[in-house]
Amino acid sequence: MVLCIQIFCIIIGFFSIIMVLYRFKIKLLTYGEFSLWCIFLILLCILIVFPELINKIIILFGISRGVDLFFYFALMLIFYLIFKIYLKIEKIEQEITIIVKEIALEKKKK
Amino acid sequence: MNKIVIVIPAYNEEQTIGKVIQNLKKEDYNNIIVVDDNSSDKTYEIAKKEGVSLYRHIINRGLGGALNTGITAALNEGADIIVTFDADLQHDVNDIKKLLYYIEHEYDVAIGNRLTKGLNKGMHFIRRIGIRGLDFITYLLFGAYVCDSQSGLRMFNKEAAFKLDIRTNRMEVSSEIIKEIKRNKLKLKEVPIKAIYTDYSLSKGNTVWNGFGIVFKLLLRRIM
Repeated sequence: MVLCIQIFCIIIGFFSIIMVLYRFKIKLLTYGEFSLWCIFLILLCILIVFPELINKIIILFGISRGVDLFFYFALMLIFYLIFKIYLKIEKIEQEITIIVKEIALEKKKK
Repeated sequence: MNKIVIVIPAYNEEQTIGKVIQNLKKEDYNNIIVVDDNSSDKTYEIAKKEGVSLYRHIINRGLGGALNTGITAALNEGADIIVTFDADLQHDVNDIKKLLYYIEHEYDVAIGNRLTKGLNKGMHFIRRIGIRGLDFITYLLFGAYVCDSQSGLRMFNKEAAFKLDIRTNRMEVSSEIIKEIKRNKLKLKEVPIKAIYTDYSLSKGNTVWNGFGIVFKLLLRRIM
């Protein structure tokens, strides 16, 4: 029996996939990022419709509780996002240096 | 006659920058570029009084940023040979001739090696280990082993200088330069030089914590 909350979550999941597709189309996401998001969202929808699958998965990972698996994944996701942000900051620092260098060279020309 | 341009990256070096420039001029190195990395002291004013080619960063960018500006400026000013030279009186001006010999005899790059026995009085044992450690990390990440990868005394011919693609901002630039030498297959010679350590120059060098930061930044550079 499918609960209302599951229907609601599936609808959210469906709209999330549409959003990800739209962002991919307007080139805000790379092909790799688009694929990862789609896989993640589809898996999420499957787990929402068949929650008993979670028990089979956690046994595979040797984890006793489903909520622990959620926290492990959440932690990995957080580390990944922090790393991406750090890389972005490094890129911005490099770009600032290019600008500062150009200004120094231009000032000297004058 | 090759035009030799000395590039001095400087950040808060008011105590020594004047003397460094005077020492260079005494040995007839008159083409000097100082890159003031937005010092908060009188480094800029003192360098200006000495009559050098002066460039100033509006925001502090670090050693890598200053070297990048300095090398580009030197190429713009028509340098045939570019020397990077520290602003803290650590280097002996007479060592420049030793590097020059190799650049004039078919080498593209010459780097001063401070770790030669007998030439590194005053260099603390921890610093020596740190340099060796960074040499090893540079080798692991970029496949190039140099005895003193962190040396600030370097000489490039203009062809080599053109090929360098420096992107790191801070102290990790020294290892990145080694990477660029390897990437561009430049002919490198390591030349024994004197390291003059005073309390002042020791305070300016890398600390152990810097070392960890450098390793982390180099790992990032490897990935990016």
